[in-house]
Amino acid sequence: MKESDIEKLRKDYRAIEAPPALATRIRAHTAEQQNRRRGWLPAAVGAAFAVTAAFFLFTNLQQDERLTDTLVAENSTSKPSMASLARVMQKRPTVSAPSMSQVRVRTLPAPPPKPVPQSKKPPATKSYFEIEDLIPKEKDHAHS
Amino acid sequence: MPLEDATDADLVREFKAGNAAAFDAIVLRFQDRIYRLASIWLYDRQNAGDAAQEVFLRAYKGLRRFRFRAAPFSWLYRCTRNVCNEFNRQRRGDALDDEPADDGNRPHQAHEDDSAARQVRELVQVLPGRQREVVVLRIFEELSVAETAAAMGCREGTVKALLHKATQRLKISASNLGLEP
Repeated sequence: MKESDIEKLRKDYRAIEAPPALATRIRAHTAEQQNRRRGWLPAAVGAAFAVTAAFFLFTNLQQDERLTDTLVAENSTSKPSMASLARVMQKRPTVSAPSMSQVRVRTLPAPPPKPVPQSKKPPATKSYFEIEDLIPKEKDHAHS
Repeated sequence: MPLEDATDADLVREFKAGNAAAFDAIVLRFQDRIYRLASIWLYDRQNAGDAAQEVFLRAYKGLRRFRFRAAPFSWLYRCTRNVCNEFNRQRRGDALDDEPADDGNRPHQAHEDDSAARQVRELVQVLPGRQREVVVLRIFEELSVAETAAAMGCREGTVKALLHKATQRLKISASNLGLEP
């Protein structure tokens, strides 16, 4: 084959065009794929809604249960019996009494000698009679 | 910027950004080229149309993950080769690269065919697989050496060497066809 033949063949080859319906077919297929791709959206929204609803229901149920438990616990509070107290007392660790060898007698240092008062308390300066003299006498109007 | 004036890479970027019209523009821009290539690698017009459609449907899924390491056409070309190989394997049980050179009693000859595509196919049938690709891309699709190398996934030097061997075998001169040496 000569170059001129190849040149002509190239021209003919480049004139080949895709069928006009090809682009339309491709568009239709891609649109279908797009619809299929979006087809899961409603299902996903429904699933998300169901999960959210289930979560809230579960949370509310748990809260209700907690509230019921609290009320029951409050209603059932009563005075503890002696037996239960005794049980608690038994569980407490017992403190052993110290042995005599552990007991030590501490010798305290001798206290300092008490200060001896050098002079006694001075006597009252005024005797009873002197005090009596201070009491004002009632005026005896009869003698005056 | 209107999509018709956008570069190939910009179209893909637009498509990745969610612009559905960008994909239509990609189809309109490449459909003829993909169809021509498919009609060379396959053997009847109906199959070439189906293959081209399959290529673009794969592109619709695959271009969303396109990372711009190569030109969009290189990606489409490789996809076309893969799809055509799959079609050939389904029809006859052998891939394009395994075709024997002489296929006188091929069933495709009974089908309606683009005569130009058939002539190109008959021309390159005598060549080994890689040389065949180089001739189709360089001579008939008029891609540059760099574009051909990117599409084939090889170096530019390899493309030049393959083209040189192919033109020798076909007894044609690449420079007479307006191709750079």
